Amino acid sequence: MKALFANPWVHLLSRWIAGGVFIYAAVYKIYDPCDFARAINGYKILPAVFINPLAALLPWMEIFCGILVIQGRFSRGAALLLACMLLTFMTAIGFNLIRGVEFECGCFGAQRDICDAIARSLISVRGEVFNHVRTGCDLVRDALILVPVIFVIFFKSERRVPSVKTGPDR
Amino acid sequence: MKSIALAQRFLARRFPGIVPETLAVLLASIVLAMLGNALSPRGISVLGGQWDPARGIMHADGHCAPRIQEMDLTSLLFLMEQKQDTLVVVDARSKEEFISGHIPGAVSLPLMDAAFDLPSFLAHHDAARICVVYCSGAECSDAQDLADILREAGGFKVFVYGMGFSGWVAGQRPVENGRL
Repeated sequence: MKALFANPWVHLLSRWIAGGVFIYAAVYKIYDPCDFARAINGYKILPAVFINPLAALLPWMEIFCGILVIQGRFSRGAALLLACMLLTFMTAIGFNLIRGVEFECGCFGAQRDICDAIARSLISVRGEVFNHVRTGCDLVRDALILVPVIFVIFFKSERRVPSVKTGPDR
Repeated sequence: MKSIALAQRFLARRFPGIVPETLAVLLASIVLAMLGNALSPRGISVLGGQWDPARGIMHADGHCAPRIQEMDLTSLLFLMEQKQDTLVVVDARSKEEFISGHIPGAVSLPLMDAAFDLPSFLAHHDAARICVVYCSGAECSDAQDLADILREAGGFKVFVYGMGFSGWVAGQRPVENGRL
């Protein structure tokens, strides 16, 4: 495991996956912050006063941290912020799953994402079971995204993107 | 506070420099977000014109105006009285909620099922020209989302009854139940 955390190629791959996912997730939210604000409102957790500031802040934070993680500058700090965001999203999704609130994740904007497609393919009749499957899938997906983010945080030493000619730093 | 201090000490020992680095990235993100949102033509109001669930989920400020025009209870009642032949009222909630109570004469088309049920809905209501969609209340967005789908399907003039079923009940209007 230690060798894995010290492998610069794993680090590089983790940075690209983590950064790429968050940049992809941020683009539509920046394009249409109103939809993202509606999604946050749909969670029925936050008071109205926090919805617009969060809808304005989170997508830009995602894209900025995503770029930093890919570029390798301040990547640990940026990855720690991404991890905090992911854990917060997972807590909110889990909270609504437990209390049975139906909501749109909003994780990748208003577009139907992979979890919606998976739930549609598994459950032919929509209803409570469908929502549980989709929300559970959202949780698993976020947990999977957390893996490369954790790798970036725990990587042993800061390294720049390995050159194609020279290979990774050793 | 003690646990935060402990977490800070752990991070500082395990990952030297990560706490100031994270704070710097956080601060830069906030500045970038405020600038980006202010300069974006689609930016939203951060401090003024806050979200107002009492007026319906779509009313945050001018930028977040409803995609589909909303109507109030009086207009809905007027339409139901005057345009009986060409009006179809659509309930976007789940079938279970529909069965437990809905606006009299409404048709169930849950948003979740829309992709599957839309063809049969359109076939059964080809004479309808006006479509009013509602969901559970002012805070749900299903009616707007379903209205979007129906508008794209074409053939209808689509409206949303913004206050939804809870607004109908609050207006002390009769409720029908037990029929899909």
